[in-house]
Amino acid sequence: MHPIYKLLIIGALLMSSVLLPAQNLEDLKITATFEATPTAEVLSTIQATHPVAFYFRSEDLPSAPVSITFQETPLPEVMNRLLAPGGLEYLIYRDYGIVIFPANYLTANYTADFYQALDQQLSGGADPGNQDPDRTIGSLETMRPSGRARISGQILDNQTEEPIIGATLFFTDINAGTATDVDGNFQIEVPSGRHDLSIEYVGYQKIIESVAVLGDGELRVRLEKEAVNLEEVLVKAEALDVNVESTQIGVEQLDVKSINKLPSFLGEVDVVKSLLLQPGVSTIGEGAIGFNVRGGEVDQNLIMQDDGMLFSSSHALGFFSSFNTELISFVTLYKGNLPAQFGGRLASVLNVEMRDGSFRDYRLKGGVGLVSTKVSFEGPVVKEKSSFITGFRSSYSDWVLNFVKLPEIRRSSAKFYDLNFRYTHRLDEKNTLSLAAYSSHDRFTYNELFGFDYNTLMGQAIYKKIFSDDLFSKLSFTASRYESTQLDLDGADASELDNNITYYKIREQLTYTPSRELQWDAGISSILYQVEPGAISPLGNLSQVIPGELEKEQGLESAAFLNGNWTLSPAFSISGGLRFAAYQFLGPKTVFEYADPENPSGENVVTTTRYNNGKVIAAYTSLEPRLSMRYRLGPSASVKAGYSRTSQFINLIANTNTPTPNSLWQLSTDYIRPLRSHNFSVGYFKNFDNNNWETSLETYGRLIDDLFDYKDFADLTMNDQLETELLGGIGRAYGLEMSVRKREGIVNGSLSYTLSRTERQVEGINEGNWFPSNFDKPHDLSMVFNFQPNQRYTLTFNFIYGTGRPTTAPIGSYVEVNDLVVPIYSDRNQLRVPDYHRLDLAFTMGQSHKVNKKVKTSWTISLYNIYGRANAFSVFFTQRPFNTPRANKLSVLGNVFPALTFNFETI
Amino acid sequence: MQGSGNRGSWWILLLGALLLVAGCLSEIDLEVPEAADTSIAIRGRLNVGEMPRVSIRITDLAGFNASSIPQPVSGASVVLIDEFDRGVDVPMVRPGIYELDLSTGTSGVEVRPGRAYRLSVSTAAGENFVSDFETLYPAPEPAELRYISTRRDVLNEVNNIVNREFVRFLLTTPVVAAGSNDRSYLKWEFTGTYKFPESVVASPFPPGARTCYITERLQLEDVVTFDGSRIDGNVLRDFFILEEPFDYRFSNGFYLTVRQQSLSERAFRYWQEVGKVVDLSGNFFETPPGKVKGNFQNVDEPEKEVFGFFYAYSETIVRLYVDPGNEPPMPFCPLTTASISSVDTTCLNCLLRSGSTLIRPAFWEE
Repeated sequence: MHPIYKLLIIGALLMSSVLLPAQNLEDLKITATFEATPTAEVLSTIQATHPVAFYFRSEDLPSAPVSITFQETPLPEVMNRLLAPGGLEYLIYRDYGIVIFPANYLTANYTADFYQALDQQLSGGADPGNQDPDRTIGSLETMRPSGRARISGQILDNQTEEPIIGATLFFTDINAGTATDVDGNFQIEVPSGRHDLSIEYVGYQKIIESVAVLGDGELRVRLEKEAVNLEEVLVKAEALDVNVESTQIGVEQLDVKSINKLPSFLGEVDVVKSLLLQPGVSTIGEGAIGFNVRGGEVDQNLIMQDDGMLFSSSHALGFFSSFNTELISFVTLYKGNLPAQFGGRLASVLNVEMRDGSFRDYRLKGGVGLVSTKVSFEGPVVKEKSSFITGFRSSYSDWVLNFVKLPEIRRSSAKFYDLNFRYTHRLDEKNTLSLAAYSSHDRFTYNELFGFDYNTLMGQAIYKKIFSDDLFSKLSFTASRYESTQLDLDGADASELDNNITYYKIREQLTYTPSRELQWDAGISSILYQVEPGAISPLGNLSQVIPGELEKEQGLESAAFLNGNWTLSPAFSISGGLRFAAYQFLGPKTVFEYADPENPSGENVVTTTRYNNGKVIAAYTSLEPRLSMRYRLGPSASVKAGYSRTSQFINLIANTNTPTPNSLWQLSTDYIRPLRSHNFSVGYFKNFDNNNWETSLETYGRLIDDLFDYKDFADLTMNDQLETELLGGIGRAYGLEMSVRKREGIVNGSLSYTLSRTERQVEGINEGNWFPSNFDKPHDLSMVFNFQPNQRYTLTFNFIYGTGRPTTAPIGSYVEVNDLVVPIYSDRNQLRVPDYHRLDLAFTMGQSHKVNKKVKTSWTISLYNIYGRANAFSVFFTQRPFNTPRANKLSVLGNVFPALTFNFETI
Repeated sequence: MQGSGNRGSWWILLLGALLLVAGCLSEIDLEVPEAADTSIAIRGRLNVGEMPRVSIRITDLAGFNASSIPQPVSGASVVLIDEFDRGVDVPMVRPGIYELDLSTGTSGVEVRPGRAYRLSVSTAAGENFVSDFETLYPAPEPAELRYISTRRDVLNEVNNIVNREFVRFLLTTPVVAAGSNDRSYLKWEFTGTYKFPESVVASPFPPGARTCYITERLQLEDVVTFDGSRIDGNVLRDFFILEEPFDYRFSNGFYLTVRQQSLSERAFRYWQEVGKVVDLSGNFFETPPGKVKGNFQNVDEPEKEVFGFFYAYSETIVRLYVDPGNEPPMPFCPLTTASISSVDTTCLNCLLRSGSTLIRPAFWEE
């Protein structure tokens, strides 16, 4: 509808409702005579002499004068006789106004809901008995022909200006609601009119107000943190059933508050350790780098910090994760069923979004622990316009080493730090630019004999633009470099071995929301990888190492994607899309040619081929459908199903119990094919007690149609024929995940259990039979129990149980001529290490919840591994001449680990 | 390579220390599957060196359980065959052990570098096995063996930090043998011989006290090898081959004997794999163990697994005397406690020691 007509209708009727006395226009009788009078003048005369007002565009009225007589003629008849010849129609609104339009305009474009809504709006405004609304959204001018209005906006923390993720907006009178997304944004479509709106989030004061929704508009709300007492904790507001309602299956979302509550190792709260409490997520033990999702290997997880990928997600060989929780906005883990926006890994996406600094106030926050300290500082650069946030973590564990009796340890050193910085500039209301930098460094040396040294440097620029209420854009550019060095400081092998990877990534994503039932996400991305697979140089006078360097490699991974979220009915919704990925392995490089390319070996090299810079050595494409469906079985239950095809063009080469910082990232080549998998999930979700209890039952399957494993005794270091050490195969993983979660209350927590298998079949290993993967854990259980009698004290327990991971055992031995006992090992992974279990406790006290207190402090005491279980990381076997053979277990942690952390925060 | 085998253990200690307590190693009971069938293990080596001989040991496999002892396979027919298909029988000298002294010459088979040999074994049970051919390569003569002393803090037997001395042996050797153009795949074996008086006190020796010469294998559980192609030049200089604590063994003189062996590439790989499976500690970064593949085949049932390896090597020997110096370390004898009743009985009768003799070795010079 042309805006001027809206104005005619709305403005005129508003005016008429105020100025004219009440009377039924259809009963109004007109008596008047006009001779050769323009229509506009006829209308003006009637308006002047009768209680009616006309609104029209003069150019719509016929220019020819009319001669006409009315004698006690009803107004509808007057209008018909006057307007019909000119092809005009009219609208009688209530008792006072008539709006004139070209014929058929109104009926063709406006629904009954429009008039009903309009009626409600105007009557509400006209009735002096109605109270004024607390808030008015939009205007009648922006009302849609459907009579509905789309409200978009953001919920923020009033003090810090941080977006609040997962805050709920609920229109109680029409039983409609939504929740804020990762940026604190929301969008909802409701009927125009007066509504009762409730906005709430745990730990914040609830807002309940009356809103007049006139048309499309924005709503920006700041919530105040609340001073909570015991009674308030007990109040359980009705929460949204996000787990039941969402279309996507296999998603775990963590908020920072939950992460901070959990018991932590040496007092350092950790994102990855929190993920391990979720069903389908496991690890092979303490000290292992990374995590396994639904039977996927560690490198099959895409680790994202904003739009940048991290190749090293941990410090201190896996004991701490790379993420500084002080700077995290939210954490989402997609398990297997990835939306089309994500790709490049088989198993999962861990999406860690960092937050902006406060646009209003300066704020300092930190924690001091036994071996590490973290601090963050944020505030406005230009108030309400631009902000910064920076965070720093560092370890200082060397003093601990001096308490250790072993001299070798006293001569050792272990340090790490990481630094985050983010600057956000609101160019205007619709454009935002963020610049982010991340740097981390780890260094270990042992007994001045050897060590590891690894660094990550990453920079990102993210530009967000709002084109309209329907259309958003996010453009990002990332550049990152990961460097690792293995130091051997003594003996004939003394050397420095480097391998590095650099990538440049550009990504654009458009989000289009034409209606509340439909949302499209489309975009493109491209990543240029540059890998330096190895350079070695001797160290010291005794070194026999020959300096050398493997040729650099590069690859280009590009993708285009389209994903739609479509609510077909209140019960049924679909999230589906397509991702097209194209990968090219590029020169310059010299490639070995083998007599049998399917079974390359050092002995059957035929020749070598030289490829120049940029020349395509190998190319692969992958068309990846993604689909997730939800069907509601009632107000608190749903079933979901999902499928996704995924592929992976870069892999971690690590034939060890766990990847090392120096493990090589290897691009797919002409011999090392990309990994590909089909992922399936089906789940049932049911909530109880106003969504305070969440339960779910999910089953999943994954078929990997291209994977590789390692030959026995594979030599992976400084090997320019890596393909000769690998064997191709297929894999499968399947399982059942169950979880129960109580969200709030004095006692809350969760229980997760996963029953699963992960197997592979590789020609050349175990006679080509299926065998369990290194991280196959049939039973995996975790429990979290929170006791929070008030907001000052929190007591948390968590318990972990898992089947021991597979290992390979000797089944016999023989004695060599020189009396050396040589064990004979069974087929791969035929035995298991003993089962894993552990109980932890954390007690946080002194949390102040006085809103006006400027500095808040708290202490956290944690006990990790309370009953001192010496869980086996691995088992190995020793047999000496003439002695009994022995099985030994290696336990990384054999005792309870206490920790004390002091936390502070300025407001 | 020297040192690499212990890296994982060090890591564990480091990580344990970081966590305020050392990670722990402990024995556990595990139900380990038994070998599926009665496989056989044949180990043979043809040595051309100070005492040229061919030695073969044939047993069945030992199960993992302590009660399972490998049984010797006696009565087998063992033949050493050269590349011209000439053979010589190798007689059984003890149950399961077959040896032939090559120093007096053999009829029909000439053993010398550059030629290839293999073994044929026929058991009394009628099974026939044959190894791949192994080429005999000449061994380079080591140019120098020396030692240096180092001191560092270690934990002693009762968990106290003490500063102790270690002897580090360094070898310099060409990696190309005389008359050869090929770089050698080298492997070393070590024995230590020390003088051991029957006394628990430093001085004076009791009347009638005897002096034994005790020879022990050193670093039995490690395999020390080097690929000669890994260096730029033709000489491997000051290669750190062995370290021993400077203890009572060095009090009255110590001889280190280094046997330098030159292997084929295949044999070198075999020993590298053996080195990996005998030196496991279960640490984070350890390569998972696998089956060490030998070079024997069952002639009649090729799919049936046969374990063990036959290889031929030349050997050169170098010895080094370690002077005890002016201040010999105490105690002379490895006392376990201050109480005389707990003294190692070998302190009173040195011949009780394995590898002990009262005859001074021919190489011993003071």
